[in-house]
Amino acid sequence: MSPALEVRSITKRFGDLTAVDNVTFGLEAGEIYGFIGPNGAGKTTTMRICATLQLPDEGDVFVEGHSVLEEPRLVRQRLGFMPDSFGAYAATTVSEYLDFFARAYGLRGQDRRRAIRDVMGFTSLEPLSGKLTSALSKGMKQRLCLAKTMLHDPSTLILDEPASGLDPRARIELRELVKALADMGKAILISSHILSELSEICDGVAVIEAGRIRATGSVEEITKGLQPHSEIFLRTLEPIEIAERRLVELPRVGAVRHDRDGLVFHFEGSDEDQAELLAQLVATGVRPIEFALKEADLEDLFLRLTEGKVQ
Amino acid sequence: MDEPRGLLRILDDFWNPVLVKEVRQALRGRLFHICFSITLVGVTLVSAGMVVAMGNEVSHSEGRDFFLGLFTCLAIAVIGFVPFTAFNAMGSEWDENTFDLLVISNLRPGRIVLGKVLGALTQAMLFYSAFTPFLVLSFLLRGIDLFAVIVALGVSFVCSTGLTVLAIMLSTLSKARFARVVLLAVLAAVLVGVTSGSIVFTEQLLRFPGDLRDPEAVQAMLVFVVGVAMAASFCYCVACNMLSHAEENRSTGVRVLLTASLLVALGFMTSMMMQFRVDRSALSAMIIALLLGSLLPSMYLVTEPERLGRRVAPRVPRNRLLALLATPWLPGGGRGMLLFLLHTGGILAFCFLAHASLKGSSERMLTSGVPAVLALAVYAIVYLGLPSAIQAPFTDRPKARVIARVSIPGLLLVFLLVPALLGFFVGNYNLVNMRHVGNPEFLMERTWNSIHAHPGIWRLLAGLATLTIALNLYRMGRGIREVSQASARRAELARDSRTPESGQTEPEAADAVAES
Ligand SMILES: Nc1ncnc2c1ncn2[C@@H]1O[C@H](COP(=O)(O)OP(=O)(O)O)[C@@H](O)[C@H]1O
Ligand SMILES: [Mg+2]
Repeated sequence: MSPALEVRSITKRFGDLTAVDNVTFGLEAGEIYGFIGPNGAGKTTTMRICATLQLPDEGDVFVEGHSVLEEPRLVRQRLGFMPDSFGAYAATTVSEYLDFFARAYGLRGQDRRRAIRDVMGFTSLEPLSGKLTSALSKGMKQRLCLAKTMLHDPSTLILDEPASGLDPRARIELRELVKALADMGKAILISSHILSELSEICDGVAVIEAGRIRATGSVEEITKGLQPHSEIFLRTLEPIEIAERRLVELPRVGAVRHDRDGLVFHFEGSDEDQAELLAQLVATGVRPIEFALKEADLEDLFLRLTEGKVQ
Repeated sequence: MDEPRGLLRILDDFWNPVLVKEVRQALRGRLFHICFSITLVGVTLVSAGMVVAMGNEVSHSEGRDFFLGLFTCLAIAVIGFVPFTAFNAMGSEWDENTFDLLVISNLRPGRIVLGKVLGALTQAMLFYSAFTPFLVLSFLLRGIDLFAVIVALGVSFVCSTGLTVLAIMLSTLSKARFARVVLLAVLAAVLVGVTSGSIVFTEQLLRFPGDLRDPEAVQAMLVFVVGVAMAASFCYCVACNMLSHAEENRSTGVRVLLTASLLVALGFMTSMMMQFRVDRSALSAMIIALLLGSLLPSMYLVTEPERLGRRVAPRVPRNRLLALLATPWLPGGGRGMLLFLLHTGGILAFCFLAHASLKGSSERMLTSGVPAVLALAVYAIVYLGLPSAIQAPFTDRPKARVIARVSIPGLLLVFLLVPALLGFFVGNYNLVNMRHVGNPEFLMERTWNSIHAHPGIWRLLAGLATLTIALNLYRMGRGIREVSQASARRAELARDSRTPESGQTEPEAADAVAES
């Protein structure tokens, strides 16, 4: 069986600018895939190509084996795309909005009414069904657009920066909705310019910058690949200047820096080496209160991955 | 939402979705309510004024004046206001960022445009029905001819429909704010013109209702309706093309329509010739008008990008012969040239046949405008073919395409004005007064009755036309080859997919057939 979404070395140029440069990745049914990169990296362009709205200059995208180039109508039946900026029609209520798109997708009679009821239930929009779309909050509009995207029960969903501009609560709710969709067996490609936003729910991520993929894999894989050595946080009862002086004389200790009320230092070695280091430290008369391996900071990672190139 | 019942429930599923949306929006929108109230108040005032002015004496012109007052309000609503809202309805898809949502929901451009047109016409129908009681009242006042009223209302409806399609077409031409303002200004000028024109026309109609019974009047109305229908079809096609993706087929609709319009026009001329005595010069003049009319769309077609779009190639007919026959109607500049030559050849052939069928000696064949038709055809070939052949390799880029399109009328202007300017400096007043080769009209006028005038110019023209066709042979040949290759590739794919496991290309192929 063909993968839910397969992006095969696509390139897209706007004049001299190569917005998407030989990008390849793929995802299977039930998978949530993060697409991460700074603004202007080419995320939206890639997603619009997947959604048949733009054509790649080179390469092709397949949705369940159907090419966006040659069979756009078959692709559109299988794909739901939620653009980053989407409009709501003036003087239209929530239920009319959904009714219109259900008709556009060719849903008839009972099927249409059922589809509308289902998506409204899924996104908890029922209480708002008679409200004008222009009166909805940003979070509710986002839900409405998600509901619209799911009307024709697509097997693959592409969500372009769905969390941007949402308050924390709406963000958590969105995350729950996305997880529920993946549990229903849908393949979901979701973009963001913030890595931490997606790290909890994504099965895999691709990091893109200046049109090129910088890294792909699970969040852990990317983290490991980027961190040749671990960092240890140390806080002591003694003033940190004293601790620092003792610390730098010990073996395997790399660069040391101050962090809040303690020290962070690079360390290369196994768990045993760590225990040994702690023992040696205590032997020098320093009394540690905290000694812990520092978790990889996703924002740091992201900054390191991407070089801050702006197009 | 209310659940429709019975027949309504079945019908409910077949409405164009865009129409349903447009009507819902319009009925809730403020603009429609305001306009509807204003016109109704206007009509009521007109009626009240009439009643007061009439007093006791009833003369024959009362009903007529009353109807004219009503019609003025109605014309402003259905000819002025309705197309204007259609322009906005199309533009709002861009302003509100919803157009992409329509495209990914698999709505075809044709259905989007049709839905917008029908939505506007529904509003027009609401206006008509609101006016009906007043119309009946005006009829009760006497003094007006029922047939004239029906014709006036019919003409207003035809105008409203045609202008609505025009407005939607104009609205699809650009998304840029400034351009839209210009387009809106153009539309407003047209709307004001047609609205006042229709009021003047109705006034004349009411005053001389007897004229309507002439067979010529009936024919004129027929020509009017057919003409508006054709213009509207062109606008519809252009609007659909503008809404399609650059790599999709944005050309075949216009091409087929152009061929069909030419055939209808030729058919019309033939029927005229069979019914009436048509004199040779009038026939030539009609053919010249036809040639001129086909030039504008052809100018657009010969400057299209050369290659088949990436979404067109997979839809070329699989049958080689069918593909070959369809070639001139498939997108691409070279194929556009092919179609243009085909049309021009067809019109010339008709010209000779028609003149031959008229009574008179065969000597007269080359008089009475036939040389002028020939001259115009040759000029058209040179002016369209020469620049487009030279620019063809660059038309893949949108900017170069615009330059290529502008360069055709530009070249005409240069050939007209540069000799005139030179003449001014040299002191040659023949040149200054546009009596030179660069001016097609000069040669057409001079050779109207004799092909033997100005043999030097004819020789030059023949040379240029030969050069033009020679330069275009390469791109036309490539155009044909590209189609046959695409066709072969499709046949190959079909053969592959007939092997057991995958029948995937079939649904899309059926789709393509449905689309065409
Ligand atoms: N239609 C367009 N014309 C010209 N440049 C474009 C167009 N669309 C996007 N770009 C450029 O392509 C680059 C990638 O844009 P985009 O895909 O929107 O990035 P992202 O979504 O990651 O922020 C940007 O530099 C942007 O300016
Ligand atoms: Mg973006």
